[in-house]
Amino acid sequence: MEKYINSVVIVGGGHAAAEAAIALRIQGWEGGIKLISDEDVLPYQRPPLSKGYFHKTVTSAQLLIKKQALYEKANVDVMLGLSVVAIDRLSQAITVSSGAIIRYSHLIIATGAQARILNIPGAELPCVSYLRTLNDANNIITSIKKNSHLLVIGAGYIGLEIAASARKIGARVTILESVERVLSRVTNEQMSRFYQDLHKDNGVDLKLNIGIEEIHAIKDGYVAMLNDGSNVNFDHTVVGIGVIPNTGLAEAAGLECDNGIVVNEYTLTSDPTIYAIGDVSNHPNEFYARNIRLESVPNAMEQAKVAAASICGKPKIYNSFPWFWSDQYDVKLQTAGLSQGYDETVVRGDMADKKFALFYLKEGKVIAVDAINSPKDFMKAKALIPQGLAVSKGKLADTTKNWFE
Amino acid sequence: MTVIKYVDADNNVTEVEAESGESIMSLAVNNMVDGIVGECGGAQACATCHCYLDKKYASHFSEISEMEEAMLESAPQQNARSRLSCQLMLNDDTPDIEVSLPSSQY
Repeated sequence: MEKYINSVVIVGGGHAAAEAAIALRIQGWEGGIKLISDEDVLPYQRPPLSKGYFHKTVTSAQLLIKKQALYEKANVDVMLGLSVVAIDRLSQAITVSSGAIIRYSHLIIATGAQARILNIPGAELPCVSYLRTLNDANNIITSIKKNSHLLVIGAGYIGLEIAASARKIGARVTILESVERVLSRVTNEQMSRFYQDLHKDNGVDLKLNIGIEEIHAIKDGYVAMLNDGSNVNFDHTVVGIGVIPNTGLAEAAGLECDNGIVVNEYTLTSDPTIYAIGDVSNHPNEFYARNIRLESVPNAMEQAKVAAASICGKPKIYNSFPWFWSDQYDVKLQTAGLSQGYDETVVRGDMADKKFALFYLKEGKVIAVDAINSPKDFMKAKALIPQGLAVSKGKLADTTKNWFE
Repeated sequence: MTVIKYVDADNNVTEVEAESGESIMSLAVNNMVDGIVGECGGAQACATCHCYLDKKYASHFSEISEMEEAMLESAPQQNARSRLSCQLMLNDDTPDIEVSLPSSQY
């Protein structure tokens, strides 16, 4: 066996993995690049699965993050349908499900996250699906029809987006949420109320503060038994109750993990030859002065470029500001920053117009904004918040003038 | 063969063969044209595929929507020719097109 090897191995098949493979070539890496994914298709965009792909405005070809021809041009060895079963850090090699051993000079772990599984009697029935992969999406799309009854379990972004898409094609939709409001993990009470009203106005039966105890098959469908003693008959259910980072490989290899794989500002793990990027990375954020883990495409793409830069000997620090988006009905939400820890909020605009921005402040400074059909406020906030944005509440609320001037 | 020409802020030119059904953003992303990022994949949520399109090409593409205009309004280095390249869709009738790119998408 030759002593030195010059090959980057990327484990994972999502946004972070695809972006890293190509970014390495763009940034000048001349050695080998292998991308190993346990899915049987090229890396694809996940956000459209609950929206554009559902409505067939985005085709499966358009879902691809990079096309086959680009991997070929960039000489990236894409190995599909293979899972990595172990990392041997001492000999810098991984073992894959086929039994093959692949050596690496640098390893990038981009294993993402998996859907949290519903753990109740009946959860194994074929009517229960999760939305994480293209296969999941295809299964959901064929199961939700006009006039069929979709039960959504969990009112997070995935659940709400799939509810909106199902309503759009005329399905009946019931949403179950175990706490007292929707999106409770990411927004304040006002924004939760806005989304609750939005879904109710669009004909969704929204049940808050309710748990599901069992699912049974009945004649012509299924029934969910709820913890208040009531039942809901339905045809199909999508469970969106959060995700768990895929840290199993890293943990078994002894890498430091804590709600994800812990990395530094260069996306480097506790092993100097191993990087972790995307949804699986728990990384330092300078603005919020804490470690965070983000489930977000922009984070995955930018961390991929940061890891590639380090591997190419041109290290740069990851310091991007978190942002997210969600499309439901006629409402586009764009969020800049993380609202956790806010002590005040200000609404700019009229919530009833479905066009407003909700600013989150902490100690007089804006730390995040939820912009509803207000791209300008979002764009400005995304650029200005990281610089330390202190604007009076009066000015933020005054729609007769721009708040950023 | 139809060619899309990308001219970056330093006047480096990348020519790419057009593909029907692609956008000027997705064509760039699939041909390693540095300078177009496309973080949101075409959802008009990020404005990191900002480009400049000469008015003479405007008729070959759909008109700028309210959402696109609002996104561009606050994009860095915006001017009267600004477009989101994810909204510039290519079809079989698209002629050769030249777009120029800002020095940064952030």
